[in-house]
Amino acid sequence: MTKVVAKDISKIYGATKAVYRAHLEAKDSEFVTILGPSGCGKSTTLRIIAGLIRADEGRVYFDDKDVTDLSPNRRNIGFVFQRVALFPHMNVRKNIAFGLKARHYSDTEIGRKTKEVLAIVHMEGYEDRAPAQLSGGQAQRIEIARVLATDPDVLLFDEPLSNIDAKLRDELKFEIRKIQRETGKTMVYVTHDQGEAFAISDRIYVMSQGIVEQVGTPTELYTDPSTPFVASFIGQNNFVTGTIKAMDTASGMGTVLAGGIEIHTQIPREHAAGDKVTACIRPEDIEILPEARGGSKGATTATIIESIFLGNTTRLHVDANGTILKVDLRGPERFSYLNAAGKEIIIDLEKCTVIRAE
Amino acid sequence: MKAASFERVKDAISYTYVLLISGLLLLPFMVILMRSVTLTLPDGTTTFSIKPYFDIVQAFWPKVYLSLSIAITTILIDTAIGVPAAYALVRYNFRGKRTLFTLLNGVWYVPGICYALSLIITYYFLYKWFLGYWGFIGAYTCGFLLLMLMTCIVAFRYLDPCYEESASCLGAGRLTTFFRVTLPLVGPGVSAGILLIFVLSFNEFITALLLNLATKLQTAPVRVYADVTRARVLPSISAEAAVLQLISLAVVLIYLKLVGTKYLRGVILI
Amino acid sequence: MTTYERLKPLALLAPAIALEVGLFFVPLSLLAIASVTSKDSFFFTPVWTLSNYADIFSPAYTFDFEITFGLIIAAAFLDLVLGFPFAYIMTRRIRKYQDVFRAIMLVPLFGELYIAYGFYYVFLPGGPLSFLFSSSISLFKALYSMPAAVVALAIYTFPFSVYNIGISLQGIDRSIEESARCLGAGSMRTFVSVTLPMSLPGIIGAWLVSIGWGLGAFAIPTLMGGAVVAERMLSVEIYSIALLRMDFGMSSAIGVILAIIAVVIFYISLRASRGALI
Repeated sequence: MTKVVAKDISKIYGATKAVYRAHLEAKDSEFVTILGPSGCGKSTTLRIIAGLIRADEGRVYFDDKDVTDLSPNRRNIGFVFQRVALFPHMNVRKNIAFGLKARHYSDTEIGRKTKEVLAIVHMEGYEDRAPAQLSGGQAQRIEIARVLATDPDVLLFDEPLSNIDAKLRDELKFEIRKIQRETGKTMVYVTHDQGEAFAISDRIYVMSQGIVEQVGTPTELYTDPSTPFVASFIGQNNFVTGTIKAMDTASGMGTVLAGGIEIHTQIPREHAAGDKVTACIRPEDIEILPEARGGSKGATTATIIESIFLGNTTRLHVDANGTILKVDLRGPERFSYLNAAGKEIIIDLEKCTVIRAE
Repeated sequence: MKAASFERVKDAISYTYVLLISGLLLLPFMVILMRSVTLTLPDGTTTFSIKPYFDIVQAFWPKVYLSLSIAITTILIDTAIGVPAAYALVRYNFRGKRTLFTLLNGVWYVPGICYALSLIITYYFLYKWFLGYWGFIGAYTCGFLLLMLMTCIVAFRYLDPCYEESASCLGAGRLTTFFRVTLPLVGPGVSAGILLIFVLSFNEFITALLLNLATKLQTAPVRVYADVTRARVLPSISAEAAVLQLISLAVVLIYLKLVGTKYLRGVILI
Repeated sequence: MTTYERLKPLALLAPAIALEVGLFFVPLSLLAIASVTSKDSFFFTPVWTLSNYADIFSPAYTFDFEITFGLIIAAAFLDLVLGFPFAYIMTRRIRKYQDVFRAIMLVPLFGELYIAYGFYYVFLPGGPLSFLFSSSISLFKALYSMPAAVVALAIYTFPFSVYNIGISLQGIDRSIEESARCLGAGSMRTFVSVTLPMSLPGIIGAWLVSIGWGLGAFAIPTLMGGAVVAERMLSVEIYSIALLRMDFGMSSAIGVILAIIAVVIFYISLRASRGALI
């Protein structure tokens, strides 16, 4: 039930900026995820929030209390690692009791708490097992129980499902979400898996090379990527770079000339005619228009080069005036284009997002 | 078919060779043991007897006790110094770390007698209060520190930092983490260092010889040497040597039974 | 990083550093200083002189160097001859009982003294190998002689040597040997043209390590080498010159020379084999 603020965090190793001017906020009881590829600085940021690493710049606040100079054991956090960090020389009971003993709980309270948290993670009866006897998924559940036992203010999970089998990963991520909802604890979660982040997060911070690229809800990130990185990291995208040919500031509609194609679409107001921009359009957002619409504004002709049937999708590679675009067809119409190489079609690119060129 | 039996021949040769060489390595020790229980009777025949062991108890036991005492003190000091040093070398990064480590290694590269002489000179010239029991401790703690350092470095490298970090996040302070998490997990590695220091300091001879001349304190191996140069062939002298060997062997075997060779790998000879 | 944090590793290392400085570097420095004094003047009013070194490099000591290095180098070769097959078998052929053999390798660590003393008994009349000798005269010669000392020294340095060769052999990627086999080379040819050349650095390193450790041998030359070896072995001379003739200057000089040679040899072997020294 704590608000977490990491204000302008920087961490520099030699010449490398692991994290640079990152600003992160997690509201009370919110599930916030830091998403990005490996090496982007997400784990470093999380560790700074935990106190395992000292930032070179910036401060960390839990509920207006400056915790930047506190070591992890004074921050009342629950940190779950990527690797199972259950103490190998202690059984489950002693592992869970560890944090409680450090806070001087009585033996009866420890017993009660242990039962309570094991029930939450559905691992009742495992008190006397040794960590070596647990499977990956079971061990990770016990880890979660262990950090919940100490009733932390903030939960910090560093890619906890990376080393778990795919099928179990699916189950566990929803369990983690459920536990977070039920306990109401603020969660800062780190992952490189976009699907995982989308499934369980309230808000997502997308990071790349130490910098926060964009923050938003899953929907916002998907429909309105604000940087080329976010546009390419979230889902699939086609990219064409060009210039704004004309723009009507009143309605926000304009024309972008890119890669030999005229695209008629919404343009963010900060741009003006003549700006260099990149148009990103998702393969699933490209509409195939009936022939009658050919020649009308916004319609572009293209030739199908290749058609690949993927089961729930048919992917077309099309050539539009020299620019290659990917087009994904879902639904019944995907069967109509199975052997369509060479066919000429009309496509509508209106649903593209315009962002600044790199 | 031919290939299979050729393989078996090669295996047989291999095992035989290894056994022969091992036999050769063990030969001197076995001989000492055998001679220590062989009494030559007045009529020239030999018989099995452990009497030589009883003969030496009076004179030899104090020396053994001294050697044990020195060994244990050395172990305690080296553990207290070596464990934190190894921790610092593995968990922290700082400039000059490599050079420091190479310099700490230096003791082993200098021949024993050169180092022993340098110590004698230093004790006489500077550390006059070391001309006694503590002279031995000083020499051995410095000479064998590297063994503890190496085994602990290996042990700490094996130890994933996530356990210590986890303990910290769960609320344990530095000391609690060290005693309840780090030490139990690194203990077996430290015990390997203890074993090596024991075996080497208990049986150390060259420095002890020089120190014997300077301090009149005689450790067990020096006593054996003195007796050997005086009256070589008596079974009782073999018994002395055998006692030292048996003690060392017992300690090694107990250690290997309890812990195995895992923590000695990559450190010394294995 | 705050100063406090920068100091933490140093604080943990301070006792070790203090120990090394006080009981290693200081003594070695004093040794070096003593080596340029005459006799035992170091302890009173130093009489500075380079005559100790002059003597060492003069013909007076040539024989000593010959004996010392002859013994040590011969033992090092014996280590290679016996040790290479041993290491090869241990790393390539034998899977079971590896721990047992590894433990046996620890045994010579127990003490050079016991090796010397035990071997003495081996050669005595009635001992296990006495059947090799037909008369007591040749037995006596065998007992106090270079060959006996060489064998004993080889046993003492055997584990160090084998360890180096073993590491080197283990470092050879098996797939290289296997590709040689796939390309048609028989096991003998693979061995000669692939395994052997690739383990050469380790072999050289092992040879050097044997020499390095042999320089520190003391009990073996004293008890076994016979009068000639016992008197002229440099390591034993350090002892006898200092404590029987009271000539600390000379003794320190020999000590400095031996120490420098040993350090250089270990350094080269480290470079050659990229392996461990202990």
